[in-house]
Amino acid sequence: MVPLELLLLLIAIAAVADLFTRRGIGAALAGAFTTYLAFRGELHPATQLLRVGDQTAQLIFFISGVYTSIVLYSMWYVKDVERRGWFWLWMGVFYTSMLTFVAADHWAVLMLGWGGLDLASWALILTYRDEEEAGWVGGGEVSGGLRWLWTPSASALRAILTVEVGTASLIAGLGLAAAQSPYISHWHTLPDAAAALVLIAAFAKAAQLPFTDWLMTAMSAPTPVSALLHSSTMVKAGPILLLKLGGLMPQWAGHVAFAVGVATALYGGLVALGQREPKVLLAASTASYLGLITAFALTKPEEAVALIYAHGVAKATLFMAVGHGIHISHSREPAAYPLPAKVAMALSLLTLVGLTPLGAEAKAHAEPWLLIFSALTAGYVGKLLAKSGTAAGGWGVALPYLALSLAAFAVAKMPNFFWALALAGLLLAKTSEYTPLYRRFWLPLAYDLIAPRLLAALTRAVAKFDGYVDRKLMGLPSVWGSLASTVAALDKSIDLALHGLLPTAVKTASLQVARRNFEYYLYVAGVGVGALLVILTWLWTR
Amino acid sequence: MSDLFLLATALAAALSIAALKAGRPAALAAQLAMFLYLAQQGRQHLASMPYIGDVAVSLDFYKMPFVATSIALGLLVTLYAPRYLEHLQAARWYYGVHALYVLSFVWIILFENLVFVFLALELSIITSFLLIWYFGYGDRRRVGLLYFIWAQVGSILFLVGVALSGHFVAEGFKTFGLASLLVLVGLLVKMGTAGAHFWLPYAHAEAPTPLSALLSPVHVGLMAYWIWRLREGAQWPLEVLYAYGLATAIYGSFLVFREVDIKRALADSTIANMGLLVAAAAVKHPLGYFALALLFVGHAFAKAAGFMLSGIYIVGLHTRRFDELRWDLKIFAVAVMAFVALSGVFGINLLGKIGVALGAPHSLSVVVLLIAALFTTALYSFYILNRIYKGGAGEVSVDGEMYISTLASAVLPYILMPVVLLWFL
Repeated sequence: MVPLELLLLLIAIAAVADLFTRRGIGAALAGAFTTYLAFRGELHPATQLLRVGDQTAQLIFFISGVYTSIVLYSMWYVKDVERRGWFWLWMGVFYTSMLTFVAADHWAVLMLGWGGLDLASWALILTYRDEEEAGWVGGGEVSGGLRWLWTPSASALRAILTVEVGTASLIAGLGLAAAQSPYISHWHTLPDAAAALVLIAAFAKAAQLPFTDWLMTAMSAPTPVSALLHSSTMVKAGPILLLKLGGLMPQWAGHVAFAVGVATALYGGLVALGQREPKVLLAASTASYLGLITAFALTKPEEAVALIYAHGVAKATLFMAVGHGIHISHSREPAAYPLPAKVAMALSLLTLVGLTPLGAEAKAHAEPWLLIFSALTAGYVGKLLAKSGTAAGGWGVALPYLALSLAAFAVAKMPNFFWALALAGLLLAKTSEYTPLYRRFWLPLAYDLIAPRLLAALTRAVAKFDGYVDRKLMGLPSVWGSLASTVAALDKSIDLALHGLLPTAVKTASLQVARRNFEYYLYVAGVGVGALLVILTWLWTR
Repeated sequence: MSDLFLLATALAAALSIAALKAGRPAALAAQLAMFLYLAQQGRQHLASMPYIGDVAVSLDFYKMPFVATSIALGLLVTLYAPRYLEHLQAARWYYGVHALYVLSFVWIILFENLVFVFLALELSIITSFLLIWYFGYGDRRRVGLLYFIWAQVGSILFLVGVALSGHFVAEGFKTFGLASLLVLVGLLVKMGTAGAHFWLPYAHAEAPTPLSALLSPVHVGLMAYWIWRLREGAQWPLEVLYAYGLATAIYGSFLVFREVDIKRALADSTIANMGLLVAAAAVKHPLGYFALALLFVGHAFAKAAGFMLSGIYIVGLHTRRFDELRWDLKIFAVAVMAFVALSGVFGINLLGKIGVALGAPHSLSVVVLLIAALFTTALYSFYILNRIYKGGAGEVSVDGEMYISTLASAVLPYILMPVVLLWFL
């Protein structure tokens, strides 16, 4: 039996090995071995830092299974990518971080996993060079004063900075809670401030409003990264955090998560419908589904977990299928997809709307109003299918994602055919890209115009103030010089007075005295006084 | 232990002085000899002096990270320096002064008598001043004087505060009022926190880079140890100090964005990191010390790597302007590791940051300050990294020794992570 801590260390070492071999063998072995151990229920931590209950073990199995299939697919997808070593290193770090986060019981370890996810997503978005068109998001047109084109470095920066708002909030929030014990399992109900900060962290990570847009431009990463980031790692860490802390969160937090989640679900669903780039469409769809998962994470955790699995399997499949088309067409907007990709997309659609066993599991207790999101899903996934032709493409490459899509049949659950009504949404597939939806309701302006200008204004203000004080301080030597000159002048005048004016005055007085023959008068006075003394002495002695 | 201290001191001092003539080998030997200090444990009485009382040295668990980091970085910088000093056409005595400078770091922490701490501070000021005066950039003599005067103001305020307190020994140090304030202000001036920072960007940016790689990462940070150590006896208002540290972190981070020069940007960023260290030193939670030690060690190695990288640019590309920087694979690897560590997104700096969060009082304004400080310190790091990246790919010629030492410094905040996790257990 391998202790989980050692396993995580080995996965990290495999990632470093992949950096040099550039083949992803370490990642494949790590993923497959962990999936096997998770399946056998042999994931046991050796220390208190980690804690693996039933739900955690299931999550690790799910994450590892999805990861393994994406890794196998990536071996084909990135074989021509220039920065392959970089890609494989950070894929491994991504996976290690997610497992660490999911299994952590010590809050510092949880933060390491959380931070590792931020870092790995930033690095993976940087996989393509800025000059490579494959890494661009947007068409380059100008709207609202903004050029709608994001290169990998721009996308990476806005991703890390957005999620760091959440990470800083989480550090502060958990810091308030961890003063009693570092072990999450020992905590009691979180104070309101801590709960609010945890919510912000979960929202930022899960790309919930208003933090949604980093997820759209994260599409600068190669498609397998998107498949991983959107299905089982990174964004899923947001609701998983809420699930981990669910019992500790106050009741009001559930209402807030629900409101923000549903709002994002609607926003993401509508935005997805308006997109031209398939990857951005799927990104908006992720925001939408993460909205639903977030909405239920605190109020209906079992439903949220089921949705995590169904959405994860479907979304990883969708991304890999779309990536298949992108890779063979060398275009971000492929006109056609290979047949297996289309089959996988259709299967994923069925899973998302609840018509496969895994999808049915996620919809087991769903309320009817959720039909609207399923209909939107049918609309935008239908768009992918309907607005593209069928291209020739290998079935071998498709095996990892076809196998993953079939995982939707791995549970025994009969679908409720009420959800088949969602397929009416396919009618939306024929709609055109309505501008507000295509522009993502101009949310990017907040990140690419308003925030940078605000930062620039603050920077200018601080720099001006600092420069002003600095110049004044630099002027201090001249003040010092003036002070020294004043002291020197005072010193000189005293010196002059003592050694010049005073002797001269004495000399002048002396000359005046000499000129007036004072000595003669003194002599006469002295003789007079002497005579007077003699007379007085004589009179006294008589 | 006294013998060991004396032996280490005799060896390190003699070899440092010999390095004035013999150069790098003697300086390396001097710094290796300083590792002997680490072999001593506990407190050792050296002498009793009239008025100022016992003179002792001690090395305990709490001092170890500060001393070990100082010596390790001193060694790495010595390995890094030859090609750089060749570029500067510096004389061999540079190494001797450098070794004495590193020795002063060890003494700043080891001495238990605060007057002797002051003397060690003086040694550090004089040695670093000499190196700026003779080997700095730009208006180096003016900058050297500026540095000297500010550093002296800090040290002297510290000394006057100690003298007014009447307590010269760190153990059982107790004071209040003006004396307490002077000790604190003295230490803060030497750290270059907001309001007392105006000297820092000049000195740290215009110093020869091997000196910047110690000045910014180690020298100023050591004062945080003394803030932590004396805080109980000095009765400083720790909540205020915590908030002030966070405000400094935010202010310093914003200063980074005004710069067009990587060394100036790194220097400004030190103000921000000193703010985090002050906040860590003011954390009342028992784990507050860990935040301080982790942030000190993590910042020291990451910032040194950043400065060493700027030195590679100066030697290889003859520039330090952001818009003229280039990167190739090996440079980018170092830059990523150094600035990610500095950002506190991962590595022991992240653990340090979460330790700082333990000190947050249940006050909305301070929590907002804390989040802003954590965010802006990450923001400036990724900003610098992005500026480097946007410079574009291009070959940068780099000397092997310079690169290896920079790489080692950049990678240490990650290598030390498992050690820290074992600490938690």
